[in-house]
This record gives sequence, C-alpha cells and structure tokens, in this order.
Amino acid sequence: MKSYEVQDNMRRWRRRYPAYVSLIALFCVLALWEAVCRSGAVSPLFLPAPTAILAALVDMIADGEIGDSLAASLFRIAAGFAAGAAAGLITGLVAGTSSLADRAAMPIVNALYPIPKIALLPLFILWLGIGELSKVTIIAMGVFFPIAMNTYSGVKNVDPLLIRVAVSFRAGWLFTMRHVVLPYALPMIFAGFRIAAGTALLLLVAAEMIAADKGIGALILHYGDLMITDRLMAGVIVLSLLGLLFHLFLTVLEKRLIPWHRP
Amino acid sequence: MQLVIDHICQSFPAGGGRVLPVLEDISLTLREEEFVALVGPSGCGKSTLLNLCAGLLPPVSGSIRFTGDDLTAELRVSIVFQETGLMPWRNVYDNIAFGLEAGHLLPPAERDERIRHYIRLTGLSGFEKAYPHQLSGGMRQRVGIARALAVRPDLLLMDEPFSALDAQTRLLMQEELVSLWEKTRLTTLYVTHNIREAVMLADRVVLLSRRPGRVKDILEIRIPRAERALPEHSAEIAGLESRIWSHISRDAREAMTEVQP
Repeated sequence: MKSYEVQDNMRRWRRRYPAYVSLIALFCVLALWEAVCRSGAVSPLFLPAPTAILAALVDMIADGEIGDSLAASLFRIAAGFAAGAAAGLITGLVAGTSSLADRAAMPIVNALYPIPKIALLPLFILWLGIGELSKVTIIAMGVFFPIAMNTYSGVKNVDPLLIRVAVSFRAGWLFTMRHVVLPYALPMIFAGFRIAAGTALLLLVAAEMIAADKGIGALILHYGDLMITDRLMAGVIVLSLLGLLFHLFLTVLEKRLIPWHRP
Repeated sequence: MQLVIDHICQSFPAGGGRVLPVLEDISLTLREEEFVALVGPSGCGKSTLLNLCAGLLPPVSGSIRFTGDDLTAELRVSIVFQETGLMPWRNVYDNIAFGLEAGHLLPPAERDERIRHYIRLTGLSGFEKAYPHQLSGGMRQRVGIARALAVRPDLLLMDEPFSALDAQTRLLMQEELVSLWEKTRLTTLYVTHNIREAVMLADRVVLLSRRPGRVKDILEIRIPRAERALPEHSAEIAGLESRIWSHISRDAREAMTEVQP
C-alpha cells in the first residue's frame, strides 16, 4: 500500500529570518566596499573607504565643523517645520470642518500643492533677502502642504457615526472637535508629518546648496567643489542620521499621542 | 411623559429629481415606561424613524414631540447604536463618561459614582481600563448601553443593538436587557428586524411595511417579560411570531431580491 503524507504547502510564505540577519547584511556590504577601496581598483577621490569616511567624520566633529553646520541646519528645519506644521494643521482643521473654508481655500491649496517648492526660492530671496528667513520660509512652505492636505482628509474622513453619537449627547462644536474629530484624524495627521519631514530635509539641503555659507548642505557642496570626497560623504552620513532621528522622534511622539492605534 | 409621533412622512432625494418615499404617515404614541419594538424588513425606514426621534434628521412633514404634565425644560434622549459608536481612543470608563462630559451633566466629582454604578449594572466591573478593540462584540455593546443609561435619559432609542453579535451572544444580551430594563423601566423604542427579539422584549410590537414604511399592525404582548422564556408560554409566543412573520414575509422576500438603484 502506498502512502503520501500531506506536505506543508505554505512553508515558503511562512518563513521568517531573525533580526540579526539585517546586521550581517550591512556588515557584508561595508566589508565589500572597504575591500574594493583597499584593493586600489577605485580611486579614493571617487569612492573613499568607509573607514576613511569615519575618520573624516571624527575629525570634523573634533574641529567643530559638524557642530556649527548642524546647529545652523537644525535651527532652519526646526523653525520651518514648526511654522509650516502649525499653519497646515489649522488650515486643514478649518477647511475640513467648515464648508465655507473648504470651498474658498481648498482649490487654492490644491492648485499650489504640485509646485516644486524649491522653484520659489529665488522669489523668496528677492522678497525676504538671502538670510535665514527665505530658507525657513521655503521649508515652511514644503511642510505646510502635506500636513494641510492630510489633516483635511483626516477630518473629512471622521466616522459620521461618532459625530452622531456626539450630537445625540448634545456635545457642542468645540467639544466635538476636541474629543471626536481631532483624535480620529490624528493618525492621518501623523502620516502628513512623516511626509513633511522628508520634504523638509530635501528643501533644507537644496536651499543651503543654493544660498548659504553654513549648514550641512553648504558643507557638502563646499567639499564637492574641493573634491574632498571623504568629508563630503561624512556630511551625507550626518544628513542620513538627521533623517533617522527625525523619524524616531515622530515615532515616539506618535506612540505617546495615539496609544489606541493598532499597527 | 409620552412620546408622540404625529403623522410623520419622510423621503429622500433619489437623483434625477425624483424622491424616494421612506415613511408614510406614521403615527404612534409611546407611553411612559413602555417598551415598543419596531419591526420590519430592510428598507422599511425603521432606522430613519429612530433618527427622527433623536433629532438627527428633520422630518419632511409631521412632528415628533414629548407631552406630559411633569415635563422639564430639556429632555434627554440616548441612543444605542448597532455599530456601538464607541470612541476607540477612550477606555471603557471614559467611553461611559462621554455623554456626561459632552452634555456637562454632573459636577465632575459626582460623575465617578454615576459611572461606577452603571459599570456594575452592565457587568463591566474589572474592564474599566480596557479599550474597545480589546473587547468582544457583546462587551462593547454593554459599554454602549452603559453610556446611554449613564445620562439618565427620558427616552432610550435602540437601533438594532444586537444585530452585529453572534447568535449565542445575542440571546445572552437579550436576557440581560430584560433584567436591566426591569431595573430602569425607561421608555424605550427598539428597532429590530429580528421577530423573536421583538416578541421577547417589547410591550408592543409595531409592524412596518416595506418602502414606504407604513404601520401595518400593532401587537400587544401581555405575557410578563420575565416569563416569556418559560415553556408554558411557548405556544403563545410562537403564535405571535408566526403572525408577525405572515405580515412581513412577502415584504422581506421583495427586499431580498431588490436590485439597488
């Protein structure tokens, strides 16, 4: 008599590897990179070794160059993000709940949204001068739109049942906004914050490359002109860490503010 | 206090300038401490009638009013919704507090006692800190009921509160509602499409026809609520059920085969 055992046909889709695999992969890539550089196959002018970049980074931190640039960049991005986020949040909330504001403001917002904001930098420099204000404004502009749009659609998507619950208990407008609309829209608003964080970083670097003598973007451009590639790459690494930090900050904030939101 | 539903007609725009009549000339009076069940096939406008009573929708014609000698200035109407409508960011305790906070009903110091009372009454003790997504459907609806009761309403509206529950939970919740209602004796309008549920719970069952909804028949049920599950009444209960079903079955069949416009 023949017999066939039933196989686990789903095993391909069920397979899970442990987390340390990611670290091993990263290490392998870095090791390969280092090996290629040391073999002399590529000129260090075009591709410095990871260890060389790290050494450059340590030097730049030690002589205060990174600190100065980072301080200038952080100020710009913090000020721009705060201003843009506040304006976007208020615009989204009002346009999402008031039919008048919706009709009046949203077509304008929609028309301006697709403009690549960096194209406006020459205009802002003309209006506001080459100083900090034009750079902060361009970041605020870039942050404003995704946050306004996401807040708007988050507010628009509030479950009408919950509004009816609030109305049936005779809740006032402010109570309903504070205790129903805002909490409901919060996950969507945070998604807007994340998009805005990426935009802000992009605009920061672009603006600093066009019109700044300090800041991480200016630093990268400076060393590019001088063809000091390891210092250039060190600047890129600082930017990537800045992006990660931003992301981490938003994640922590989101966890605190939205404890009920299931992943 | 009585709730008088007086010649209510309701229709909705159906596109192309046409109107879809939903309710036609509904008149009905709910007496004090009366439990009335509204039964009908889907599309009979029973939920619409409930929304009208709650002031969530203005009637096209007719009126709904409270009458009575001892009327206070502001009557409170609570609704228990089919989908519960709990706030996912509030735990059980805070969800029950929602109605009291929204209507600024009690000094905060006295709220706690009120909320704890209804937590005990609805069997939610020990679940105060749980969030809605952590609870079963039956427990969630208990929270919905506790929230509705906590404001001490003059009228309780229930919109198919158990129809999203599985059959066993539903039976348990019906039994709980009977004993809860005997303790509170709130004037209640209960919408359901479940015939048995209506017969087990209500003092009167109002049958609505299908679109436009009209009152087809009203049945008084005189068996005491607590005894309706007993075997000696089973023949009478079954008779009531089949009488309702004979009224509704043709409409229900039509509703089932209708293609949505």
